[in-house]
Amino acid sequence: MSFDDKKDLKDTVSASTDNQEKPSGMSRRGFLKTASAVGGAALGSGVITGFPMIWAQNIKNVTLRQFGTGVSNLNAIAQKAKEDLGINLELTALDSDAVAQRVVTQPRSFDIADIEYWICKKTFPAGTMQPMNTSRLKNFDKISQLFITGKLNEDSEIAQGTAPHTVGFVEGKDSVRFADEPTDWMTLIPTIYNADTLGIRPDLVGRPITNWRDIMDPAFRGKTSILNIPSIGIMDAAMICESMGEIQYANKGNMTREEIDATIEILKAAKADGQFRAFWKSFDESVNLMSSGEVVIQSMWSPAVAAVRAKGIACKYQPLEEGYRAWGGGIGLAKHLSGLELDAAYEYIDWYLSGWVGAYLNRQGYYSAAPSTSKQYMSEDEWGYWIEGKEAQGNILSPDGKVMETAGAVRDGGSYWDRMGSVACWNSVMDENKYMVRKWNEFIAS
Amino acid sequence: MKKGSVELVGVVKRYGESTAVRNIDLHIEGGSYCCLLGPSGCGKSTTLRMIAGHESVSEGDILLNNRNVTTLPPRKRGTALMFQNYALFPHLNSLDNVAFSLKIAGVSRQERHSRALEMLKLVNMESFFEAFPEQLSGGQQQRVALARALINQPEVILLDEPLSALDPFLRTRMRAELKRIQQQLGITFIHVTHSQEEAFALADQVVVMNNGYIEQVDKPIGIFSRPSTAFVASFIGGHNIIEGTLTDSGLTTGDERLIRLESTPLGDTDNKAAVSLRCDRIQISPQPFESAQPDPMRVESVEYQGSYVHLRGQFSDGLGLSVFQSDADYLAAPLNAGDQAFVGWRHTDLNPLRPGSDIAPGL
Amino acid sequence: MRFLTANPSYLQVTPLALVILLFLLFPVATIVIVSFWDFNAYQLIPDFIFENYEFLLTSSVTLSAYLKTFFYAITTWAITLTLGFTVAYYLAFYIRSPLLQGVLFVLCTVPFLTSNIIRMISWIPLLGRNGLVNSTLQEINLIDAPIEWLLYSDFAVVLAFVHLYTLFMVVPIFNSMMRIDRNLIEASIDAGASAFQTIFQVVVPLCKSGIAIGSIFVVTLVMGDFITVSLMSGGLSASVGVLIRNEISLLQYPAAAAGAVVLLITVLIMLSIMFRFINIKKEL
Repeated sequence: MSFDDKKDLKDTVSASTDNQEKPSGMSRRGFLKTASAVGGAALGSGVITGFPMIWAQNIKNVTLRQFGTGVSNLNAIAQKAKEDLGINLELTALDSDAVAQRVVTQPRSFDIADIEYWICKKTFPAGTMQPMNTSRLKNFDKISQLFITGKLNEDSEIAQGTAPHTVGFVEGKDSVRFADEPTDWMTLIPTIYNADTLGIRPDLVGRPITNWRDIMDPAFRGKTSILNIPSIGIMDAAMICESMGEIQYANKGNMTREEIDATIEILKAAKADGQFRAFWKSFDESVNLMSSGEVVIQSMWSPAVAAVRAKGIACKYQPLEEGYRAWGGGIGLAKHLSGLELDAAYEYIDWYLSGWVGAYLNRQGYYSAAPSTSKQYMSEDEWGYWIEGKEAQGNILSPDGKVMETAGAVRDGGSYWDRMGSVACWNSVMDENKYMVRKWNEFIAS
Repeated sequence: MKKGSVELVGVVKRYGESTAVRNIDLHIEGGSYCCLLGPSGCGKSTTLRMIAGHESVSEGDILLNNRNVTTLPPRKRGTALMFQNYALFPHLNSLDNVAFSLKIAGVSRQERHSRALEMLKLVNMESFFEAFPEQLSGGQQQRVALARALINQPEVILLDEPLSALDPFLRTRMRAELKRIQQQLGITFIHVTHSQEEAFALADQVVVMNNGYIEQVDKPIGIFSRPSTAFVASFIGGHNIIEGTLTDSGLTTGDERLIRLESTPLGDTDNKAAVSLRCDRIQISPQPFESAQPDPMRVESVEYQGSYVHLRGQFSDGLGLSVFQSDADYLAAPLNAGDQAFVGWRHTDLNPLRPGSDIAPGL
Repeated sequence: MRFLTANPSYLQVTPLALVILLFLLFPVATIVIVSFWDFNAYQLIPDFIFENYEFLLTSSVTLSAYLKTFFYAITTWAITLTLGFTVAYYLAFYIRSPLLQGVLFVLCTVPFLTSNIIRMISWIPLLGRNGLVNSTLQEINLIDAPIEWLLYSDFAVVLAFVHLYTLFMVVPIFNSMMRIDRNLIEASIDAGASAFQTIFQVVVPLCKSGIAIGSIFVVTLVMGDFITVSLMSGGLSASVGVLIRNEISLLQYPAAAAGAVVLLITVLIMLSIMFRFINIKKEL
């Protein structure tokens, strides 16, 4: 899933007035893995002390302008920030391309940028943002290791693509060079992230789906779909091609021209064979394709799976052997921030990590940057269902109070550590992006 | 019988509830110029369109050359219709307009153009063969339309108010042109008009229609000198209509005035009857004269018309008369409105009228 | 000043000229300028390069997109013309009462009371694999398996175009037909023409300007469309508009601008060919 779908979601699906998102990811299956086994000390000692926190008083009524793709359309967060911190958060939601352009070209038009990590890779070097001093963040050590070292579990492999930790730190206060090791200067504080996979209609596929290559099974000819957003679609395609054994990528997140050509050729051949029923571009298209039975297996985003299920139609966010394609975003500071505004921004970011927001995002099926802090704000059942992959004991509610799942449900893909621990590739922007987009157009026009 | 004779037998045309043409019988001789004359709505155009085949016949038959054509499509009848506004095809030039029916018939381009050019020559329009209708004056358009009607060598040309769109000067000229072409080709022309002047100038045979009926069929001279009904007399103009009650010796009008008639062929005494009297056959003078009415008439208006003067007057008993006095007579003894004048006529000038359909409104 | 007082007509056209300058020429000029710029993932780089055009004019994608777009334009044009002419002919020549004519004409416009997108999307449940058409056909045993090409196909795209744009044909053709003197039809019949001969020899030539105006509407709308193509083809085909839109959504404005310029030129050439067939001034 990309941040784009958040906007689509808001526009098309959620009729609720408070801009709440529908949470994603529910499941019937999954197995348990306890948090402490892998989370180790970070979670074990992760009890927030001194709660409720006393926030600084001098930042009251400071206004911060935040714009971006991900959490920037969650007004509930702005309201809560006003309540807790007294700051005024002005939110502007944009699509990811517009955000990227604005970060680079209009650096004074924002105070806080809410961007994806792959955008950060391109925009941070432009020097319009400043890194955050981790020592000013009380909750820095609660941030998931995924964003620090790239390894959620001890035995995780570092995923391909623009893994967040690779662009998470710079070498110094005024540096725009990304550091190889964690430093005291962080570019983005993660906000929401998730792991994407294929959605299937378990009632119609007629066999177990275990691999990305299953989407190319001739049995599903004319009943599959992939998404027609080049930068994400190419990644799904790469997962598929690698799973088919056709191509071995050095780095799926940064393909060579030859790799792009080979990938597109496979896609074109499949299209010519009539393998694809359609390509979708927006959230609602993917929901309609799935719920109408036009397709039975397709690349999909987590909230879309939830939307199909909300219609009473069986739909599963199928974990696959090769792992997930992950995406994530975070918030960073504009270069021009200083003085009281900078203090306020630090306060805001620390507050962000302190748990309430994390719980809110967890309930939507995303993941919080600092899972341990959010636990304080969730019931045991919620925590068990969303994070630990346990069977729900009672109704699981969305942040706006709608029943998402009832007792007995298990989240697809299991626990946080199962899902985020098996990320194969992160969304990224390639060096050959322009070339890739042209080849992608060639595929669509073929 | 000459070619191009047309006969209508008991022809009726109904539109739903209303009847436009009521039981018409008419014979038009081949090679003659026939005018259907009447006010608008009298059924003359409908009759023409039935002959052309653009209007179905509700009852009765139409015969062309003694051949029943009642149900034939237009082109199969040997007629050609010339429309009131000429209906030239705006997208075709004069030559192609004239050649249109040949093109439909599949005649080769070269032949149809040479034949069309012949027709344009006949109407003196050959130099405009490339012109499109919008580039032509009304009179020129009409010539082209005529050429188009003539190209298939029809036996009957049907003209629907062909001159009404022209200015008076052009109308007179085109009138002569039509007559010339009709005589030159010797084919039947049936021409609908509401102008008696046009009908008299052109026609061998005038058919006066009113209210779906034929009122009178005659030569122009017959129509004017002996209109058969009050409608005809008033429609063609220049006639006084005197109504009264028949007596042994004549017609009694108004206040016991006796109009003496030569004979009384109008029916039984005590019946209502009417006679017509041409305005130009009334003698008028300030002094009494031999054949004058015993009492003078009061002149109410005097209109100078050039070759004659139109005087309107009224007797004390209410009988009103129009008099056309030659300008020479008028100048010899001018009368003014308010003067008393004596009027008189020859008995033979009184034309008995048969009861016809009602006088059309407004006349 | 003396020039203006001597030529007041220049003064009179000034407001319109300014509006055109501001809202037509200026944007078009901007697009042309930007089409020569360079770009990277996030920024436009003012420059004067031909790379955008070079790629555009040598790419096989452009060719296939143009061929696809022409295919849609020509197919849609032929169908809307036939349909539009027939509907207009019926309205103009068979319906005698002006009242009924008006009522039926308004009836034609009823679908236009909803948005384009809604009208398009409503085809989807109808044509889908489990849609109304397929399930009905299966129920009456006309087919065994659902017809796949009803949706997400060229058929679906053309169907949607025809549905969207037939009225744009009907209106100008109907307008032309209403101006045809009914006597001309009789004159044609009088000349021996059959109904078909009358239509092709008289009615069609006299509707030429209406047909051309309708054709301009339909062809330009189809040539510039991206939403119908992407929705109804399920993203499986790409018209020129779709390519441009993809580029815009990826912030590749210079490439999109070059695409737009080439499309504009193509459409202008098509229009100038159409204008050769008619005298448009006569119709306005």
